[in-house]
This record gives sequence, C-alpha cells and structure tokens, in this order.
Amino acid sequence: MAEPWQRAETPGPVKAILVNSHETAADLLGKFRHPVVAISSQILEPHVVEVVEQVEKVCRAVNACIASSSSSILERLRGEGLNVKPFALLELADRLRDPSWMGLDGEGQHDLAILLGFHYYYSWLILSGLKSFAHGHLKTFSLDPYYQPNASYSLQNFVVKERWVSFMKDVAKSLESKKKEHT
Amino acid sequence: MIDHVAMEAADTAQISALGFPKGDPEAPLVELGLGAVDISKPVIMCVGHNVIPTSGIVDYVTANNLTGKVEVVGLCCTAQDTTRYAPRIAKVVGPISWQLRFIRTGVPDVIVVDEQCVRTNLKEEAARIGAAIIASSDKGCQGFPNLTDKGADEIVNLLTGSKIPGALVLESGKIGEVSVKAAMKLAPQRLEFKKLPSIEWLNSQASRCKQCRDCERACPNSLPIAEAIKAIQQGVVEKLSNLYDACVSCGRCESACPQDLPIVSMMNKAAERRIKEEKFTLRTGRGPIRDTEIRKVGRDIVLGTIPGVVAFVGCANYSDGGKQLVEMAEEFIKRRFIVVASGCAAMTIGMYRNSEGKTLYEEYPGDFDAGCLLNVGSCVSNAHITGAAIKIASIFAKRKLAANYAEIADYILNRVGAVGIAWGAMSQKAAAIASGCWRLGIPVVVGPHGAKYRRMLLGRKERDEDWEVYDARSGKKMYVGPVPEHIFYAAESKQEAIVTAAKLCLRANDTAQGRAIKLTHYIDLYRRYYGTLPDDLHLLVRAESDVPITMKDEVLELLKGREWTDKAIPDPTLLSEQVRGVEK
Repeated sequence: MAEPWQRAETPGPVKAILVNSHETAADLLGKFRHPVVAISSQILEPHVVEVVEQVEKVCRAVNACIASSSSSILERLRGEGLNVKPFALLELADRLRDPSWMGLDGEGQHDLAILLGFHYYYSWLILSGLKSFAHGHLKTFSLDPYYQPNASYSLQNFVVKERWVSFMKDVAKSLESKKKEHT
Repeated sequence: MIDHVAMEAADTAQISALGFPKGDPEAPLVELGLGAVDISKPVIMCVGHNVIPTSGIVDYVTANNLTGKVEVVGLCCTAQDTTRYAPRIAKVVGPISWQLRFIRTGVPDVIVVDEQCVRTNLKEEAARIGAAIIASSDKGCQGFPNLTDKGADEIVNLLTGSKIPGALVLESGKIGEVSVKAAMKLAPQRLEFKKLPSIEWLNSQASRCKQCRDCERACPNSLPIAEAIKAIQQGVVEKLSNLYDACVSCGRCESACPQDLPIVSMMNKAAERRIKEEKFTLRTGRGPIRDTEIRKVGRDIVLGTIPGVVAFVGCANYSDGGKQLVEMAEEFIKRRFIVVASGCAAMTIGMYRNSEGKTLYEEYPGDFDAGCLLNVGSCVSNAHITGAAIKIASIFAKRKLAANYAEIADYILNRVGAVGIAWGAMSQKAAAIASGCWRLGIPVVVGPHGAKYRRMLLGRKERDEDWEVYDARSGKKMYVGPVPEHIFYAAESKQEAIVTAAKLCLRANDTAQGRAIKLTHYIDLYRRYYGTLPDDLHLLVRAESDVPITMKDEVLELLKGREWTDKAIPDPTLLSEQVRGVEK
C-alpha cells in the first residue's frame, strides 16, 4: 500500500491508483482525448534536470495543452518549440471544475489533468479539490516522484530521484513507440 | 470585520496606555536578528502576542538602572510591541519561526511566554538548555504552579535552584523583577550552554544518518535535508547551511528521525557564521496612518495615479524562505506603490541588506506615501491598514462611517487599489485577518501554504456577466472588466504573487491616467515573468487612453486581434441604493 510522501497529510478513503509500471503509465496517458499538463519549476532541480526532456516528449506524444506560471518552465518549453500558456494552477483548477469550460485551447473541457513540478502540498490540495469537485468529467495524474493519493493515478514514492528520471524516460519511450505504431 | 474592530481596540489601548508611537513615520529603528543579541549579558527571551508582561520587564530594567546590562529580546508580536514601548532597551530576535532556532543557540537564560504563537514544547526545550521559563498568561499556563502570590525572591530561588521547571506569574511587575533577577543569576551558571557545539560534534551526528529521508517527508517544505547531511559526511557543510534561510525551524524533521538527530541544532552549527552576521534593523511599529497622510495621498490612490497599496502581513511560514518577501516588497516600493508591513512579515522584510549594506527600513522612508515602507506594528496593528482604506472613504470621499459598512466596502472594492500579501499565512488568526480585509474589498494573496485554508475566492475573468456594476449616475448596469479579479488567492510562487498583486490593484473607478499607470506595472511584470503580453488586456483596457503610452503600438495591435471596443467608465457601485440617477 502506497503512503503519502509527506506523512503529515492524511488522505480520505478514495486513493489514487498506484502506477508503478512505465507501460501502464504510457497506456493511461495515451487513452485520454484532451489532456492538459500543468508544470512548475521543481522539475528543473539540478539533479533531476534530465526529466524535463522526458516531460517534453510526453507532452508531444499525448498532444497535451500545457499550462505553467513558472518563468523558467515557460522559457524552457518555449525554447523547445512547445506551445505553453502562462496559466496559474489555481486558476486552471478552478476552471477544470466546470464541465462547460472550453479548455485551454478553446476545444472543450479537458478529460485529464497531469500535474508535476509543484510543491507536494500544493498539488495535494489542488488534487483534493479536483477529486471532490470535478470527479464526473476529469481524471488526474500526478507524474511527480511522490505518491499523491488525491490524484486518480499517481506514481510511487521514489526515494532515489534518479530512478524517477529513468522511469520517466521509459514512459516517454513507450509513448513515442505507441505513437509510431498508430501512424 | 469584528476581528478588525477588536484589533483596532486592542492596539488603540496599547498605544494610549503604553505610549507607543502615534502614527510616527520616523519611529526609531531597532536591532533585529540572532546576531544582534549580546550573549555576554543575561538574556531574557519573550514570546507571544501580549506586551504587558514584557513591559513589566522593561520597567524593572529602567527603574533599577539596568539598561545595557540585561538583554530583553522578543519574537513574534510581543517583540514588535516591546520595541514600540522601549526601542532603546528591547531587540527583536525574529519572527515566530525563530523560536526553536534561538533556543537551540542556548543563549536565552529566561524565557517568558504569554499567549498565541508560542511553541507547545518550550518547557522541554528550556529544560534542555537549563533556562528558566515563566508563563505569564492564564491562556497558556504550561502546567506550571501559580506562584503569583509568592515573593519575587522566593520565585527566583525556586526557578534557579532547579526545584521547579517553570512558574506561572500573572502580575507584570513581578514578572519583571523575577525574570531580570533570575536571568542575572542564571547567566554566569549557563556559560557552557551559550556556545554552539564543535564541528566534530556536527560530523559525529551526521555520521549517524542512514539516508532514510524521513526528515524530508516530515518537512513542510520538503527541504533536501538528507542530501545536506550526506554532504557533511563527505566534508561539505555548506549544503546544510544553505537550508537555513528556507527552514521554518518547526523541528518536525527531528521528531521523524529514527536516529534522533538534533537536526535544528546541526543546522545552527552549520550556519554559525550566518547566525553571527544576522544583524539587521526594523523600523518600530508606527501605529495608525494619520488623517493628514490620507488627505495627501487619498486622491492619488482613488484616481489610480499611485498604483496601489500593498500590505505584507502575517506569519513566517514561508515556502522558500523570507528573502522572497523582501524581493516582493522592494519590487513594489521601487514601482512607487505604498508598501505597508506588520507582524512577523515586517520583521522578515528587515532581515536582508542590499548591496550598500542597508535594510529596506534604512533605505526607504516610513511615510504612508508612494515609494515608502512603513511598519504599522504587531498583528493587532493590521487594523490600521484596513483603517487607512476606511479613512480614504471617510476623509477623502466624505462617506459616513457609522452603521455604513456595505457602502464603505463598496467604495473600497471599486476605488481603493489595495491588496494584502500574507506570504507565510499559517494560523486561523491570520485567516481571520485576511477575511476582514476581503470583506472590506481588499483582495488578499497568500503563499502556497495558504492553500491549506482550502477556501479561495476566485473570479472567472472570461465570464462577462460576473463583472457588471451599477453606474451610480444612471442606474444602468455596465461591464467594468475583472477588477479586482480575485478576492482570496493562493499563489504558487513569488513571480505569480507579484503579477497577481499588481493586477489586483486595478479598480473599476480608475481614471484613464490611473489605469494606464497600473497597466504599465501589470504588463511589465507579466512580460518579465511570462515572456508575453497578458492575454486579458482586452478586458482591462476600457479606452485607448487607458493604454500605457510606451506600450501603445503593441497593446493596440493585440486589442485589434481581440475585437476590442471602447467601454464607458461608470461611477461604479454594486449597491442599488447608491444609485442616484433615474434608471434605478
């Protein structure tokens, strides 16, 4: 049984499905029609910086809309040619609650919100809000190296962060090969 | 609202009874920081929110010619108010979160606690360093025997003879005599506690770490503690020292450590040089904003030509250290906002020096005016910040005050570009203070930990129907755009907070000149952090004259693409009873 990374946080009875295989993660990420990814700056920490490339690959593979209010993330992802919109997670989450919202790209409400790079407790609370108030139309996926029980799907706690980087590499690789198969 | 009334009554009582500064922009500067404490003298540490017990200490020191012979230092709001009472005697150690950090230096000889914001384990921590502890409030007796009726010398003997761990004393004069006498008696006996342990001790503690990362899982800020301790095992102390600024010294890491490592003490040792150099200044709390100051700036605030009032308030539960608060304050001061501070936030703002070696309080004047920085005082002084907004409605716009809350709040919401930033929001008390602000039409931005309040008040800028007001002249409903867009907002990062605060200063009543000035700051900050023009300018620009002159071409170009049209500027109100015209 996975436990929350921060021990002070106690989740409710409905907890995230633990995703500890990269193939399952790739399958899940690939099955949604209109995902949105919210990213913040913690994925730019020096010892995990390689993960940014994998996140870029994942975003491309699932054709996700991307939101961030981190100047360094905006700069980095734009530099890689990704269309990332300045949008705060709190404002995004407020809109994700609303089934009639037209989404970040105006194409309709999103069906999957992927979060990574935020303070653990900040994601925790946002995911808790979405679990309670957007459960009819939205799934959430935490790709951070910590178990987030308030998400619909979450990765495990990676005590050694380098293992998370390598997990994300495998996820990106699986998604890319699936995309090739489809095309 | 009731909370703000109570705070105003409390601070007014303090100001008049204890002779605190009465709206003095030149209130004196006092020493601030762990390094400001003279450890060669007996040290009395006072914590909490009630100045009365500490005023007894200061009175005893003064009456017995002990000024300069005893250090009276404080943390949290008691420190703010003690320096307002006795700026030549009292010093400020730091905000609430410095409690454990300071005790672990071993420096305090006597600890006096009153009420609120007092760590629950101070009794154990005091025992650990051989300090005496005096509880001074029936709201926080700490389980000590009530010795109020005993003679001062008898209490001192009990405290210093290790016969009791602490005492409850409920009379301020007696607290003064007991704490000073006990500190003078204990100080020479406690010399071995007053120095940080050796580097060998730090290395031996670090060598016991098993890298389980339980400390990080307990840390509210997920600081990389295990990695920093691993670095010590490899001979590098800097990593742990570098965590000093971001650590809120809660001590949860120690409780979680299966090896019982004294991580806070280890961090103190690693950051020993920083601690010694932690000598800053705080401008003592000046109290209320004077009517004459409101008359001088009220017009510019309402018209928008002073871009806004930004108030930094609240606790020190910062997510990435206090430096962010200083950077935010300086950003707004340099942009000629009026920057107000209170409580622990005001202390943090004083805890950094610029390249010229000055703190913000040394660099900027303490007036309620554009480009100034004023500390109003402790948490109860927050009422002076909302009070200033109320005074603008009353003095500048002649609105009646008695039994007229809705009209005053409506005035402030639509006309006074004020915003609060509680970057280290923590207690329910801080939430109550924020609630008193937003009910009055002053939006509040909290730091990421503030999301734990679990209730935000957010607007949706794209919903036109949410942003209509009455035009008081005609009674017609008119669109004014999302101003202010949110009323209570938890920002994830410093950048997000700065951009949001600048935007939340926009008001429906801004004149074209005022709106252009406010948009200049919003656009400039947005572009600095997000690299583009804001995507909501078409909602905020009402006429071409609102567009900042230096940004005209690009903004008009953007507006063209959004099918933007001119909008009339109403005399805005949300209250139908404020409508004077015929179309009501």
